Amino acid sequence: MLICIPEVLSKQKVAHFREAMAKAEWEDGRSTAGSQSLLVKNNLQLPQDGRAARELGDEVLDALAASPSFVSAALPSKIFPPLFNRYGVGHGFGLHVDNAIRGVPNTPVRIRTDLSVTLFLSEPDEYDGGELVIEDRVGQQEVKLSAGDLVLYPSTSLHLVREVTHGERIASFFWLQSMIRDNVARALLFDLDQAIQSLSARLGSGDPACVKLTAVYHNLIRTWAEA
Amino acid sequence: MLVHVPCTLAKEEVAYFRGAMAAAEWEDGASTAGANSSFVKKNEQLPPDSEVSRKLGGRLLGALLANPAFLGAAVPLRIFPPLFNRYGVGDHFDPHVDNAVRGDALTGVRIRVDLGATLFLSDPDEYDGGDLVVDDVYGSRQFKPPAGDLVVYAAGSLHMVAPITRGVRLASFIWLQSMIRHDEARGVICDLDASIQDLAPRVGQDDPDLRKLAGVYHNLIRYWGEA
Repeated sequence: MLICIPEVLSKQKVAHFREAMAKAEWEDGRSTAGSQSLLVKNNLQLPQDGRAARELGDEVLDALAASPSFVSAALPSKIFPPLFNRYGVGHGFGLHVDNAIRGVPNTPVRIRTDLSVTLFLSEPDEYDGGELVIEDRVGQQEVKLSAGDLVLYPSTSLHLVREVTHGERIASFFWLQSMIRDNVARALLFDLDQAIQSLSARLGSGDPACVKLTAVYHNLIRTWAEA
Repeated sequence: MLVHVPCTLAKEEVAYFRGAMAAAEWEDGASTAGANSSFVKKNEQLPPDSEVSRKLGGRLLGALLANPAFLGAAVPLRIFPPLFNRYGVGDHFDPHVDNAVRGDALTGVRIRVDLGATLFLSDPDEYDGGDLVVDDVYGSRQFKPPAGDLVVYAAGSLHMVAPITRGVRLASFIWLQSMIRHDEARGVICDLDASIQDLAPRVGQDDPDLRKLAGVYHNLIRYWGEA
């Protein structure tokens, strides 16, 4: 399941992020890389415990919480504090898989990375290359979204960021542990929620079938969720 | 899970069953009881391997497999050949749970008994007492529906037939293994199916939301189903 959610951040919000990031100090992106991805990662990051990353990260979290599509698709339990990266010309991130477990620095919190998220902060016409490429057993999916849009995909996939050949690609990225560990179960809940939202808009949320379907949705969450 | 399926057999069909049963030989119902329930069971049965029992059983299976409400609630995988019983005055079946596994000597079929079902073949005014009483999640429920109705219950829940104080109570009872082993999961699937059946005539079979719900239904069966 690869889900794109448009306009999680407004264009004004994106401009505010860009401004704050332009003033910040950047460091080598390998500071948060595991031993395998160390070899293939070449970019810059805001220091994860720096003030800029924390303040902007909290704004990202607020925007996520206010996005019904994101909540429905991810059913998040714990979200890693968002990180921010910058790929200039010649930067890229070769094929890798994300670490299964991540500790949140300076806290006892540990997250199982069920889903990976990239929130694009540069417009596609600002850079060449820099596509997020997600591999599966039959081929590749390429993702390059408008600034303010995000993509959500299972962390189990091998993925890469193509080398940037022109301009600059700025993004936020993070991982999350979902209340619903299993990708199949989570995808099914997303479909069910979408159908319920659409039917409720057409028939009224008090329609008996909508009420029953809502019970089905919550009972499935009760069956599967880790809270 | 506790579901009442009205009019599973038409009145003419009930009359046919009653005619065949009136002409048959009966035996002590203890013949199919487990070690524990033989103490609490007092009724008569058609011998399970008798021609009349097999013939009526086959006919009943045909009706069950053509009944969308039954199929939606039970999601049957294997159905044990139906048995037929008769409770006269003083007969009863005290609270018990059904055996977990049953083999049929004649066909070699062995099933895990997930669900039991009683098909009533006498109308309520033909006898006093004889209620089917089932302990369910929200308490004890009593059933004494018209002839032709079916009550499906979790085989693991305590259930009983109250003593008969007047007349004769005829019924068939069925055990089955469901594709959906767990009661709560099957309940969710049953509710989802009922919602889809309710919506289909209202929004049309080719409605995109309905198709999405049908996809969710089949994916849930795929997720949980044993075939």
